[in-house]
Amino acid sequence: MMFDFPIASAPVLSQQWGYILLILFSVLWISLGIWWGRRAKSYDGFAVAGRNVGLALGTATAVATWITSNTTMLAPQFALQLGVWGALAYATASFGLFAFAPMSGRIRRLMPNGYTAVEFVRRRYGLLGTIPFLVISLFYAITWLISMSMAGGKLLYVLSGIPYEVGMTVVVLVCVLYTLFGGMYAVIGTDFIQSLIILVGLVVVAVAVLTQIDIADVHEKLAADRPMLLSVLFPAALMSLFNNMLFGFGEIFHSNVWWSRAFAMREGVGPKAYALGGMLWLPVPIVAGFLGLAAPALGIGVSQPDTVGPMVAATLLGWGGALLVFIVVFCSLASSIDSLLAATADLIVNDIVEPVLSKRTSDETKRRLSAYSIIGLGLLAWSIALPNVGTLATVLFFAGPMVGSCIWPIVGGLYSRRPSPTAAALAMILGSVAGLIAYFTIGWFVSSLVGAAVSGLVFGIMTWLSCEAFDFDTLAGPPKQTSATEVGGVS
Amino acid sequence: MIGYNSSPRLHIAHGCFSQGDFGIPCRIGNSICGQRATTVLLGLVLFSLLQASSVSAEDPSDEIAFFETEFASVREGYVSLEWNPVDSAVEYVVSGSNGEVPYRGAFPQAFVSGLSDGDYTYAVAAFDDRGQQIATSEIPATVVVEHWPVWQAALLFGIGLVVFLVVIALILRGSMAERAAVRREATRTGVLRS
Amino acid sequence: MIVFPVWFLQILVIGALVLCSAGVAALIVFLSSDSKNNRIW
Repeated sequence: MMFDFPIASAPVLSQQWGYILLILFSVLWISLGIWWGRRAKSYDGFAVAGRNVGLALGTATAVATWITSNTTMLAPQFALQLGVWGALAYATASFGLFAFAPMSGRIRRLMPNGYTAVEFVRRRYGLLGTIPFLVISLFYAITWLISMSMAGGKLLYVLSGIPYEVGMTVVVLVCVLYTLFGGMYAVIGTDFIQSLIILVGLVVVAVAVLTQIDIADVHEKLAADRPMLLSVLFPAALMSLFNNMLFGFGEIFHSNVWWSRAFAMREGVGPKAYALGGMLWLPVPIVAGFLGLAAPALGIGVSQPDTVGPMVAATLLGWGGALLVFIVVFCSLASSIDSLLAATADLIVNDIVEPVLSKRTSDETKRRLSAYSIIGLGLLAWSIALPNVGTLATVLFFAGPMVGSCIWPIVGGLYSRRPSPTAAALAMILGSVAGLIAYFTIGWFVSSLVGAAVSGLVFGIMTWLSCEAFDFDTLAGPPKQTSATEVGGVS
Repeated sequence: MIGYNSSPRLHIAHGCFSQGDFGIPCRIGNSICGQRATTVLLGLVLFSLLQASSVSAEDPSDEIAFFETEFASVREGYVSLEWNPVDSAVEYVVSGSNGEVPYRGAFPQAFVSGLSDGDYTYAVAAFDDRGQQIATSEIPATVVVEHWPVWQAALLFGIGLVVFLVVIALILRGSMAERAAVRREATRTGVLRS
Repeated sequence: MIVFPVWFLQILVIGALVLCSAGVAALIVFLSSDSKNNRIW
């Protein structure tokens, strides 16, 4: 038994209520998945939601996917550790969405029948660029999936006392089931509801805090007891600012989670949806971070900085606050796990299985393969997350320099004819290696920065030397076979 | 968004849960990163300590002590103080040498942050349900805060800013060129149609 | 030590709350306009 020694935080909600909420939301997501799944007959429907997603769902899916459990739980911790700059640094992750906005429009236009980011890299840079990119993509996606599953189990345990194994299993199983039934339709549909719940929940908690305490009081208390949190020149916070931002850029630019959404949105919707999504996401870490900053002024003794968000909510709003936090956390977990399952399954089907079979697979086969991939990914994440080895989740942070070094090959390859496959491959490999070395020799706060900077230098020099002239028309790929088209309409 | 968790926790390594604990295993800075093995060892020691304490929970003990009393060269201005739980205690109070009370709560752990450069000493006392002090730490925890030099922070900030601006410039230039191309294409097809 | 002034913190927090609320409103408005034109999916 793993829980029989004292933990530093008591559950904020009773186990019974935890189970009731868990069952309620599980039933809701799965039935929505089945309902929306009726649309997902063809592979295009299943993988990219019929490529016709409108502005409302497009914006919401960008917001919900980018709000992970870390955004709602780690932002208060970040603020409590690194102060105002910490909250601001976290909020700059939304710049990744702003920057991806114009890119998503170009991606949609250049690859009207595309499915994945790796597909772009394969057509743009050939095998040489694909191998490091595929390795980085899979590493990032799978470690993120595992760490989110583990986070699910831990959060449900801390919030309600539901055993880790039970909570983790239910979170993974529910996400696998509704993604399996509804594909991208279910993922994007549930994202809309999830983003509304998360935003409303945060506003309610923050307003409750503001009725109890003035911002000026928070400021005064911090200035007296924790002055560095208000410092404009907080060295650790300043150092982490661009590192965090570039990590976010790398995550969004390279990950198929974001590319598959660019393909799923109707022509012209992508840039607007991503920019608006960034605007909606931007305040979330600031509001959540304020909860962290308010804790000392409210006289809430902080044992563990990562529990400060739910503690503030539960202290001020009692049972209702705890309930709200549980729901917000469950939604933020589900909205990211489902996206990862769907987007990574696309990657496996389109970029590993299909090229290896080296023949055109039918839509039905791809649909079936996707289902197997989703189940396989769910099983993989579940089995690795089950033993709950804490240090495992930290592996995810090796992804920082790796994804940071994908920024240039993606942006350069998307907008310029000159970058060569060698430039892309070297930038990714040398950037990752340099970033990882920096991670271990200097510290976490430089790893993505060094990855992005070194890969940028390599990429820039190689591109300057090259005389390639890539033909962007080849990105569209061979003409697609006609398949059963999706029936549009109101859901 | 993943975000970096800059606060390493020992207890995660020995199975104690806390949310958001999916962070990096090292504190900011290479000096402490180099001590990862020590950290793991320390975690194991703590783990066995905690297990031992739950085994011997029956005999009442009124002693209270910090697990770690020396925090030299804290570069980010935050520190996590931990001490052994006392059986009949309902509240622990951590107080600083200048009279400040950074923690008052039920759990045997306090997170103190936002400290500026300087030396700090902390003591912890345990109180029972009648508000009586039942134990107080004999050895205080001493914390020496030395923030990273501002020039280093400014340098990294500057490099980050340059990388950021170049990426943004590249995207802006590319999307402007593309918009022009799309417009040209539209006029061309328009001319062809008419 | 140069510290962030109170008004900065106030603008930050109130602004973020307003933006969050506006976001909820915007999502609902987008959904209703999308559904009017049968363009949700």
